[in-house]
Amino acid sequence: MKAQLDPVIHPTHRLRICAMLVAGTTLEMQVLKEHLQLSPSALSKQVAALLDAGYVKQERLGADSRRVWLSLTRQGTRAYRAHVAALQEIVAAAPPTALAHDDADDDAHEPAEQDVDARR
Amino acid sequence: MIAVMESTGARPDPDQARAALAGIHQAQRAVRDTPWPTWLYPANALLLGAMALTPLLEQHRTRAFLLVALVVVGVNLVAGYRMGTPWALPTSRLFLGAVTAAGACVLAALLLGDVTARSWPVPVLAIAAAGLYLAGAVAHRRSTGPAPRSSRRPR
Repeated sequence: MKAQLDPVIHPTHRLRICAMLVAGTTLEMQVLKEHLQLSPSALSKQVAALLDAGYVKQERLGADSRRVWLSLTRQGTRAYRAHVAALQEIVAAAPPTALAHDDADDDAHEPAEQDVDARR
Repeated sequence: MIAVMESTGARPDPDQARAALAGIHQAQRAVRDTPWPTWLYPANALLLGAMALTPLLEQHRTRAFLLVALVVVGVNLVAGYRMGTPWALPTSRLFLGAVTAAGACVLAALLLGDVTARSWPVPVLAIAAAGLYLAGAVAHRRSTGPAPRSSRRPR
């Protein structure tokens, strides 16, 4: 598998959606909403981007048509794995001293990231 | 920081890549550790015990075993679909180990039921299977936190 960053999966929430779908195979949209703490419209926007790229498929299973189920397509799984491999390569290529420095910076940056994500 | 990555499409630096990988790990754990409804643990323990007891039947052992196995799969699938995570494998290694051990007890009961005339090992193994599962259930509940009030999520 070739390690390659994917611009569709790159945004934080889309990457996490794909990660959750890999872990759960098939998930109800409500589960994603709860874990990502996104508004329904914000989540729909992120999922729509993945649907448009053909990375995710959406179904309504069973009698309750209000429940929307998502799963990764084969293409989506490949793109996700290649993206994660690329991220791992970037981390592995980093000098150890830089990583130690980054550890200290992480906590300071986290709230700012969340603020930016919440506004998006 | 990540907003910059998204808008420019630039290659993330090691710090950003590490944060993204940590986010993936956290998101996957959250899905896999979705709390189960409390009733599912005793139900599974009873069903595992019942599976282990099927060698004691004089007739239709295989049919009874397969029927209970089907019920186990059905109950867990229905519970999983109600939770919204039907195929998520829990992260608790203690729980997974306990389930494996309980399954081994069920298999041992089936084998012993065929090879020995003594019947006492079968109920002992059935109790062991149910007990091991319940012990694992405690570990699972500790890893997931409290159960949701209702297994059906609010719309």
